[in-house]
Parts: sequence; C-alpha cells; structure tokens
Amino acid sequence: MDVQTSNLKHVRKAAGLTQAQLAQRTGVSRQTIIATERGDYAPSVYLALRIARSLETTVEEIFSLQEES
Amino acid sequence: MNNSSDRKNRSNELADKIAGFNDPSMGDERERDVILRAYTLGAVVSTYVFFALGLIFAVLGAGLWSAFIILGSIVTSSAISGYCKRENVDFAMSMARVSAKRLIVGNIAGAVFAIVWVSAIVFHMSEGHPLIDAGMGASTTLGAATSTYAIVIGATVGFIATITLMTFSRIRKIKQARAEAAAAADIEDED
Repeated sequence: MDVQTSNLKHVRKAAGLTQAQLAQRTGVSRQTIIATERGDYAPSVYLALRIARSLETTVEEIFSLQEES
Repeated sequence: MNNSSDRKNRSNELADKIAGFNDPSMGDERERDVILRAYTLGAVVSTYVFFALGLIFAVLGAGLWSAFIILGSIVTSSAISGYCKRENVDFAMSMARVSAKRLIVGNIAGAVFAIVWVSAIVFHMSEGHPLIDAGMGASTTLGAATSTYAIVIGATVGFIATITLMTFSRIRKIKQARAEAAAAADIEDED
C-alpha cells in the first residue's frame, strides 16, 4: 500500500520562505500550509501546482507516494 | 524530512467515526466531496428548521418553552466550530470573510424570525391564548411573572446586542487577518 508523504517543509525552507509567505503566494491560510507540511492535509491538484510554482519546483519534488514498508 | 499523512488527528478521530467519514459509504474522493457538500447543506437547512419549529411551537402555545427548540440549533454550530478548532481552523476567521450579501440575508432572516417569534409570545401573554390553540396548556413565562413589555424590550435589546457583538467580532477578525498578511515575513513557522 502506498503512503502519501510531504516534503514541503524542506523545500519551502530551501526557497527561503516562511509558512505565512507561502500561504500568501498560494492564496490559502497559514494553517493550511502547516497542515500540509505535517501531512495532515493532502492539497488539491491545483493547490499542489500553485505551491510547486511558488517554490519554483515540481509537484513530484514536494509530494510523493512511497511503498509502505 | 518527510511527514506521513497516515498520522491521525486523534481529537477528531471519534468525530470522524461518528460521522462515518472513513466508512465505505462515503465513496471515492469525488463522491465524498459531493456527500460532504450535501451534509453542509443539510446542516444549514436543519438550523432554519430548528428556528421554524420553535416558531411553530410558539404559535401553537408552547410559550417560552419553544426557546429550547431554537437553542437546539446551537448543538449543530458547536459541533462544527469544535471540529474546526481541533483541526486548527479558525472558524470565526472564516465566518468573518462572509460576503456582504450573505451577511445581510442572514441578518434579515434572523430579524424576521425574532420579530415573529416575540410577537407570538407577546400575543399569547396579552390575549391569554396562543395564535393557534393546540391545547398545550403551557405557561408563556415558565412560571415567573413577566410583563409583556419586558419580553419585547428584552428581545429587542438581546437582538441588537447579538448583532453588535457579531459585528465587532467580524471586524476584529478581519483586522487580525490584515495584520497577519502585512507581517507574513515575520511570523514564526509552526511545527
């Protein structure tokens, strides 16, 4: 079974953005970014694309499916 | 560092079980989205149904006891705001962003309901019988002696106070959101 994982926090910090700044750029609340980083929330396809574009990377670099060990 | 999405928010796990959120009856992700939107509509409709039932019972002679039916609608809103709080969603902040049209319609509906409900109670008190006598035999005053004018004044003051408090709360939340937006670079990250 695949497990959804989020590398958002690492990618965001590498881009030098705070959670609040990323939230502003992507049009969501800071709490949504926090929940996405924690893995508590899986964003829609369009939000994931906006996040990736804001961080100048690809969706696959941030969100991935990994085989559950 | 990776965060796995199979980490559960324990505080809402019980709520999700009660709601059947992870039950197969919720369907796939598109079906679940539709069903959840349908449940939202149901929650809004049931709130107005509570109000209507309170009004009907006031007209039929339940007197001030009909207020308990109206207060039942608080259960729905408490469940909603409690769930949001446990998921770290500021429900009051979200509600503060309500569109002007929706706010006006809601306030007008509330005002009309309050006026009609108070009128039914006042009629019952002043005439000694309800608008439609269904034989409930209820006292309008829950056993205490209260003047008609006191009920009307109390209801008016209560309604104005509620609208005022809600307006101040909305303005405060909007100001808070603007301040957060202006200081986005300075707000510390949360883990």
